[in-house]
Amino acid sequence: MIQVRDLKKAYGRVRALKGVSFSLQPGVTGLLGPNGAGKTTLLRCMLGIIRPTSGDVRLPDGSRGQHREVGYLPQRFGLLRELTVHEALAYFAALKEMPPDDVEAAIDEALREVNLLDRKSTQVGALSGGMIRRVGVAATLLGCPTVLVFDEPTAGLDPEERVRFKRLVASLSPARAVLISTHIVEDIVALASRVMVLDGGEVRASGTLEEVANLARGKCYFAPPGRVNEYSADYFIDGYAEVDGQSFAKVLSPRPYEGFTPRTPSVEDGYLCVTRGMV
Amino acid sequence: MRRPLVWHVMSNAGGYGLVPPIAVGLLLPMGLLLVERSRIPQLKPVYLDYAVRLLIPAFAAWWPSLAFKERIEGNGRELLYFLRRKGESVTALLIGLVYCLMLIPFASVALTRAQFAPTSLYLLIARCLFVTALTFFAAFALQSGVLALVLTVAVNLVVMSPMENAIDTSALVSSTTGVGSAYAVGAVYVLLSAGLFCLGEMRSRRFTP
Repeated sequence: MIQVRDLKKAYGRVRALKGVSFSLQPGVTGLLGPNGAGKTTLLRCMLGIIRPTSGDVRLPDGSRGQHREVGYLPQRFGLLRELTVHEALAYFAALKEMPPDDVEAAIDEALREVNLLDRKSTQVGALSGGMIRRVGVAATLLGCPTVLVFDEPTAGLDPEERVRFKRLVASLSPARAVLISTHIVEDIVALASRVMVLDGGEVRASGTLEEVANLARGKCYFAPPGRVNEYSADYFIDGYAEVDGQSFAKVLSPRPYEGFTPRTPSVEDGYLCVTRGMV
Repeated sequence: MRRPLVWHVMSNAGGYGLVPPIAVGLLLPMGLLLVERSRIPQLKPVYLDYAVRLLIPAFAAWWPSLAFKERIEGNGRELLYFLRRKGESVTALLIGLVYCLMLIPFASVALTRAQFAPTSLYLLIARCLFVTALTFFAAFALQSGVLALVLTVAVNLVVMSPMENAIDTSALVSSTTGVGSAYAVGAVYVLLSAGLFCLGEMRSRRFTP
């Protein structure tokens, strides 16, 4: 639905994107990467917000730069605080040049999808951060775009709102292509069927969740936490877990050490292996 | 019927958007009526001069600085930019024209009761358009509505009167009637406005991360 070919972007001497290529298919795709990996730059170049240094992006109908088929929710969203939710969405509908006769029904439909129909007459400024983000999702859904792009959609949301957002994305039609950019692996595991790992301006890995998790196969171990300092420095502690009442450090290591017990890799393990150069 | 974008933009200005209608559409004409009825005849030309040279053009900067604030420095500017890939010069021009329409009460009082020359009205409209265009351009160039407002008011206070006098003097040399010089000053403002609208349009099409 979207094809990106050899996309490059440089800010002076800094190469933010070093030739990114992928194609976005229907379903939810996660774009994972640490802060500064180039995720937002990639999305902005892809959507024509900033001009790439080189490369090509083809949107759903084969065009470049046409954006009515694409809904985008940027990382920062909190605008039009003086307007009511209805007025704000009417403004977005006008910006999207929707036919006037379709606007009311489209607003109701979008608000129903984000469960905010009862807040139609509330001033945007009076809503909570999570609700404002849902208004943002509603604005993104206006006009039924076939491609949805969310940049760090759960950043700054409380746990309840994060769950609500995940439910909302999960309920979206599978015919749509949804791209979610985040550094929160948990969100991707809950929502996406495919994942791309972007690091240092390059796609370092991509595939299904299982394929990315498998990148860490043979590198995931449990280690007794009291002894981790005894091993050499070529491992990475990924977290801690309790197994049969005993505490263990979750370790990523290119080779096993004495006392290590193998464990099943997760998507997070695969992601960490990629970003730590262990693949 | 689809409401024009400028309607939505100005709705978001809230109560602050009412400052120019109250000041220029209501208080200044009322003040002129009061001055006209006062017993101090010297007051009327002074009031008219301040209103026409300073106050009314200065208030013309208010709406554009407010209207593009969200697009320039608001939290949703990226989304607005994404959805509105075109520039904003048409919105700015519409704002300028609506502001000029708001001058009707003042112009009515001034033309009928204060010997206000029609050429002065033409010049006033040209000044207001210039201030609108300057604020629009400055807002996008400086990426700040407030700075644009301050800059434009400063230009209005410091630059516009001497500039008008300079054009006026050189125009009078080639015109024996004073009318020609007012048109010359107005024409300069209109040309400058067109240039600033074009520059502002170009700048507003570029996203600054």
